[in-house]
Amino acid sequence: MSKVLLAPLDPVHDNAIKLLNRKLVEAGYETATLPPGSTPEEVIEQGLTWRPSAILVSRTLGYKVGEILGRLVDLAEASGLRETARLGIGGMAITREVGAELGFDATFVGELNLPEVLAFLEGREFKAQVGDERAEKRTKPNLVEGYTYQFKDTRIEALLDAITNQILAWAEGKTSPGIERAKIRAEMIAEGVASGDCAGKPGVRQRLLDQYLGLCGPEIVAFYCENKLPSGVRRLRPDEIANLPHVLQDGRPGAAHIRHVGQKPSFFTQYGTGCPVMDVMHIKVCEAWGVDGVIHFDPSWGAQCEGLLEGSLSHEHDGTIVTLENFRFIHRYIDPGTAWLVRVHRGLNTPETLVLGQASGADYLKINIPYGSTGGGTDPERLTVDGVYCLRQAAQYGLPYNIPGNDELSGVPPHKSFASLLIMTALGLKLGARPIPNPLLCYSPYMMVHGAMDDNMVDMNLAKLAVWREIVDAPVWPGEPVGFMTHTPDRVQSSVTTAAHAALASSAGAVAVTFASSDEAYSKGPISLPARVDTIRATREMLRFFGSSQFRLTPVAVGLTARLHEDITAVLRKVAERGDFVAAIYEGLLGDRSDGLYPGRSGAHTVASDAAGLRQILSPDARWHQAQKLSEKELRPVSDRAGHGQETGPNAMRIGAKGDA
Amino acid sequence: MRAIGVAGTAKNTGKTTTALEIIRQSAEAGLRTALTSIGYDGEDKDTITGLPKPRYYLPPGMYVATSERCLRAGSAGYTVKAATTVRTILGRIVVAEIDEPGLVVVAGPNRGVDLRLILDIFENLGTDLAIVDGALNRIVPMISTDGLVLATGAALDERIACVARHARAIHEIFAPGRAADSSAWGQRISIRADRGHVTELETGSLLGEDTALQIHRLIHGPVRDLVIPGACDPRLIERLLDHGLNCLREARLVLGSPLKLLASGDPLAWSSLLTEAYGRGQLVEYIEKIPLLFMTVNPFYPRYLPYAQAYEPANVNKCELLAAVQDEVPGLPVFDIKQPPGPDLLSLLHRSTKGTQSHGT
Repeated sequence: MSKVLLAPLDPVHDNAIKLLNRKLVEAGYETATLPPGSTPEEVIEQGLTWRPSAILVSRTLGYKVGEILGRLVDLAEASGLRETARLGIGGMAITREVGAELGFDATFVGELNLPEVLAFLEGREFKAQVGDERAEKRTKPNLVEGYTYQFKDTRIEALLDAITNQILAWAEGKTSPGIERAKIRAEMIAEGVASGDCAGKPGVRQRLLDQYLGLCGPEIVAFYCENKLPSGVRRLRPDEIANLPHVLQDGRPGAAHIRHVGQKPSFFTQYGTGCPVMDVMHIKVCEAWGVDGVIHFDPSWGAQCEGLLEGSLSHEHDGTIVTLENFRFIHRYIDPGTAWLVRVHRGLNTPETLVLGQASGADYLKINIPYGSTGGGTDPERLTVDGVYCLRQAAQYGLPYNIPGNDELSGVPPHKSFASLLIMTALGLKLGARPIPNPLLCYSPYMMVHGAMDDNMVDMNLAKLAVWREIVDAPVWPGEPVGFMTHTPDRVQSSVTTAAHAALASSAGAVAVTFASSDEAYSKGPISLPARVDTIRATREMLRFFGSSQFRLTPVAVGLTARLHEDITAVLRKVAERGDFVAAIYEGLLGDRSDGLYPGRSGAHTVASDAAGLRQILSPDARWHQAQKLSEKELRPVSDRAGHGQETGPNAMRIGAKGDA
Repeated sequence: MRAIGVAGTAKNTGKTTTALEIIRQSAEAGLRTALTSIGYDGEDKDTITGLPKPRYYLPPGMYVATSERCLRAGSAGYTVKAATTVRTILGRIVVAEIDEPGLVVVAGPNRGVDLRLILDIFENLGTDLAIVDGALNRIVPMISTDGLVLATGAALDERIACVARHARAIHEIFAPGRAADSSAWGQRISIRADRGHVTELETGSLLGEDTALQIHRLIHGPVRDLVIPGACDPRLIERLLDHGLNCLREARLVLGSPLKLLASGDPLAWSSLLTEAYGRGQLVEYIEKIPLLFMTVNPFYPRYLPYAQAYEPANVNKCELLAAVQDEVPGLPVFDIKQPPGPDLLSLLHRSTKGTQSHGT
């Protein structure tokens, strides 16, 4: 039996030694412990007498403490003990570099990781930490498993059935430049000519590229034809790509879960530094700290021009550019146990982003037609056509999709936002896909204006989760990220509020939670890794604090849930009665101007019944025509839009202009 | 090949600055130089105080023994010349030749046995001068080198007089010579009676009262030699002497090495013990010997700011520090590397060789 001498060189504390002693005895080791305040001489003297195979020291590092620890190591060498006993150290502020400087054989950083200690005692190589039981248990979460998607509220089910039938009937036979480009992209990937540097089949590549560029905006055409890069974009150098494996080689695999008990929720974090190499670093750090999934975020401008770039590209501002090469590069480094979500509702490039994500190994998608069609987003007509296409593709590839409810950030009340999520849920289910609604847990403008969270943030957030359990048996994934608008520039404050929201979501049975980096809202630049770790650590501590205990619905929360349920039903009834989903978005039934929501404009009038129709739409003359139509929409008051979908004449613009004037 | 250890009395006493100056002069002289460390050196900020610290910037042609991971972390270009079986917390150690000048992170062998292996590799590669960087106050593995350079300064103690007294004590520890019969002694504490009979203890180190009491019980008459090859706490020898073991007062004291003494106890305590021993006419010798070649002093120290829970750089008077230490160690060259005129360190490194000094009563 191996003998281990445990020595707290701390003058007072020996808790770590006591804990380690218990664990080692349980693991079958013979141990001896020294009391707090032991001197290096006493440790070595005991070692010479008892002859352990290892001496493990616990000590918090501070100034002049290094010299004490150095003396211990020197004494071990001088006494000859070092020839038979290996030396390990752990404690606050101890790092591997400090351990090396002090001359120890092993350093145990952070909280006690018994497999790591056992590996050291058994003389296994450091890389044997892959055997960390927590690392081995790391498996990709299946967020939809076990859910029946049965509607418990039959009134809502019936309304959704009517709404989704109308959407599918309306979208039938329609196409867009986005859909056509997605088909070309898929063909390019299938033919092996999706990258500009691909060898062979140059004729195939050129033919498909010509077709593709015929459906693209001028910025994208300039990229492919004139090698013009958008502002702030550069190609990654080969050495930047080649060096990454070396940088990651010494990374420590595995880490504790963020969860303290149970298998839910899975924790997702967003990345999108602009640089794929940096993204990988962020992902690896987040994985090491226990996140279960990562979400790709790209620049907002990528959603507003027709067509996608290609190649390994870096972007000096927020968001990493969607290209097949960037996706595949990032995915190559994502741990097999980490889920990868690609945000698909990328405006004019929604279907194409899905194709690239699917071809690169995405596990989950993200799409919400009403949310993507508002604010600075895409024209509702266009995104509905593209969105339906994507849901069909998601079903075909078996990729679950989450449905973000971030329109609440614009001021949309939760009942309208949730109505949208329910429509998207039912629409996907009807097409054979598996949806995961993302109700936003946040301190939204609506809550601020109406004082719904003046007393606390628990009741309303619990109600927002409870209402889903009343309506449908579906996985619920609060995001995105949780605690939105509770964050301030103070990193501690941001970490705490995020962690509180995550704990609440966990208590309420969420299947997954997306959380932010504590400097996400206020970083004024790239999100920093320490801030990410802050949030993860805070969340882990909060979950440790709550364990299996639960938040309970108070009478106030029960009342809020009931009110929310009724209001959602009322919104869905109005949308169903309107009989035109796209018109309902234009008219603000799912969030109107008073809520701070405006229909998106990108890609207006780019829907056609077939590819030939598209070519006509995209001709130079047609673009002038579209611009004219767009102006009509901008100038006409919302109440005039009842006739959406009908052909409007030139007079409409004049009438609208007069009206506004 | 000559191997030189650069050790410090504490963190931030100027080991790296001294080693960098030796490297600079070696490069100018066209010597093939090699570098390793018994710890870790390469961060641009101190791991404890957070204050800036010098880094190793190595010229082409130099050898370095460090972990593979640390090599990649530096900016110098390199070619790996030899892989070793020596492993540290930061990975396996390799020996590399610097191709392009740049910063190097050095994390070398932390045990004496491993250091010897690395020095053998340096020698086989045709190295003229090998430099072994110390780590904090750690010093014992340096016994594998041919001579020691010691860095001290205000980081040890902000009181100049204390630094100077400490330096004198260290100098005195290095004074005794190597025992002519050093090879006759093993790894255990041995007591040779006046009549020649030798009694051995199980242990080689004197660090606890139990061992001291064992020695006490074994001594029944005049002692010719008391041999303690391992670590030794000077207070326990004093206690033996104080508790009626007059027969020890005339015995020759054979200790492991000056480095083991430095590791085992306060140099001032050793200095006091040695002075008293010499006063009694007692002979003190070492089993292993290493010369102290010169000292460097550094006026810098990290001043702790309790209200900020941080450190700030501070300095004592550099001229006073240098003069005080020089006064306390007559015969031993002492420099402040940053104070002109710059010393010719290479000539000092070649001044003496291991085991040739003769000291005693």
